[in-house]
Amino acid sequence: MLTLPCPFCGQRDETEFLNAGPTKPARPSSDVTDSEWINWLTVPENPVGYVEEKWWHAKGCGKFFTIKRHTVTHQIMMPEEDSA
Amino acid sequence: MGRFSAFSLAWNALSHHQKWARYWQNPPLAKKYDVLIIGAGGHGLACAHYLAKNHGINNVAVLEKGWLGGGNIARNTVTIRSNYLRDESIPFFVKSVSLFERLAKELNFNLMYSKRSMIDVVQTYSKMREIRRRMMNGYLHGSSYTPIDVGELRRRVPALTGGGPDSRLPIIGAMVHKEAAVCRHDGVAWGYARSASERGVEIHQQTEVKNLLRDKDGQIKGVETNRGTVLADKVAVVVSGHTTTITETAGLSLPVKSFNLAAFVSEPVKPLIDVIVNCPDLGVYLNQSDKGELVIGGAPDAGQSFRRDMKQSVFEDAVVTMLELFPAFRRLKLLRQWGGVLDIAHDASPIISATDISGLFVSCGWWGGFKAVPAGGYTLAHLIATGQPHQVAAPFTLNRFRHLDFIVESGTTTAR
Repeated sequence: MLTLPCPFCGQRDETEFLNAGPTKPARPSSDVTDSEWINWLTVPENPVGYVEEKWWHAKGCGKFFTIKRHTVTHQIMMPEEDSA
Repeated sequence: MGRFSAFSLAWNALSHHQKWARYWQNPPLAKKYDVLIIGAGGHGLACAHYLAKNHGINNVAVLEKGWLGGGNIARNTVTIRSNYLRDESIPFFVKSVSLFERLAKELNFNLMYSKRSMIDVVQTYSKMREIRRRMMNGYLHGSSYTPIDVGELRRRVPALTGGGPDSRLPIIGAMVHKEAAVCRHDGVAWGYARSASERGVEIHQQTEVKNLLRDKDGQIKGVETNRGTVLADKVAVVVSGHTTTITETAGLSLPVKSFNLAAFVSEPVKPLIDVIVNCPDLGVYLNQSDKGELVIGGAPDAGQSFRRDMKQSVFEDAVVTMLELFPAFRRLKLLRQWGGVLDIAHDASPIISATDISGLFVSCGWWGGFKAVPAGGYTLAHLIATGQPHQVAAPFTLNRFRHLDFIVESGTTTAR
């Protein structure tokens, strides 16, 4: 059973959360090329390893937060930790 | 190799069935081929078959990391249907359904193809509106979708005793998709492999592609495998969930995310349900196999995943919602469960496309790709052989992302 670390509520069961997808880099400025824009819009990180993603504690406190989760082991760490 | 027939069965009975020919050959791995297909699953083997049969290209090697037909072709719920939403999608899946109908004959292989309707059980008015829109779009493109009332639904699926007027989500109607079918998934992989091998295609199992190789102009020139380098001017990546893992070795990112989708089966019971039942409001679907097992599927895991297990929470969701409609099933024992990694594109439609890397083709973005195996292989072979996408697959190239011309498929259990 996967639990997620809500910064407000602590470790809670994953069924309380909605996945909000992998994080994106900052929105590019308006002078980017079309292909750079499309890449930003449609191409996500899809690693066999740690993915940085957002979760929404929808059935809890309502907090949005970012974690790193391993896509094979489900191991979780905070984004500031080094993904060694 | 010989044809399967009543005569060959009788003839081989004389030698106690000890002398049947092998389905496919195991030749040594050559240094160079015209076309390399990465992944001996449904789509890869179908592509190899149609390359040889329709286009006369048989200097082809299919490279498989594990064993033939061990990926998602063995991990689906065998449903074949064409009730999609978009004008672009329906003709493609109608083509696939029609190829499936005559596939056993074409491959001379018993696929245990069984045409049976799929019935969508509708419990909310928003879903009813959406499904009526599908019905009208289906009429335009030759995919049938017929509304039936609750009485008729209960007559056709007697096991469906839940969802009455007092339940939380009473059933308000149903929709029948007549063309839906099931067939033996392994048979599809083995049939295509046998036919491709007979036409000269080589299938190399236990051959893991580590890297894509490019020449100095950036054009694809081959792959690096655990058995050495293999060269080819055309390489097709047909590996389902791990597409980006392979393409990123050549620096190519794709608009897909990988998810784990699981299913499970019950113990075998007497014939109980002769249609495919889909409950889109609850997010569960089931059919009964020829052995009598109920094959039950639910929603994918939340968040990207390369696992092939079943999460307890996903399993519970599927079981609890199924018992809402089929309370008698609580007495069933469940036998086994499995997962498979699939990739879902940004707009949840498949991608059959050439890429920015000259000579590199991808077929990915398949969720529920089993129903698309014949058309996916057929159109990918056409693209590789001619350089032009096939007419029914033309909307599904990577160009649609460049022009923000998305084909948004959603509203099903897998792609929400």
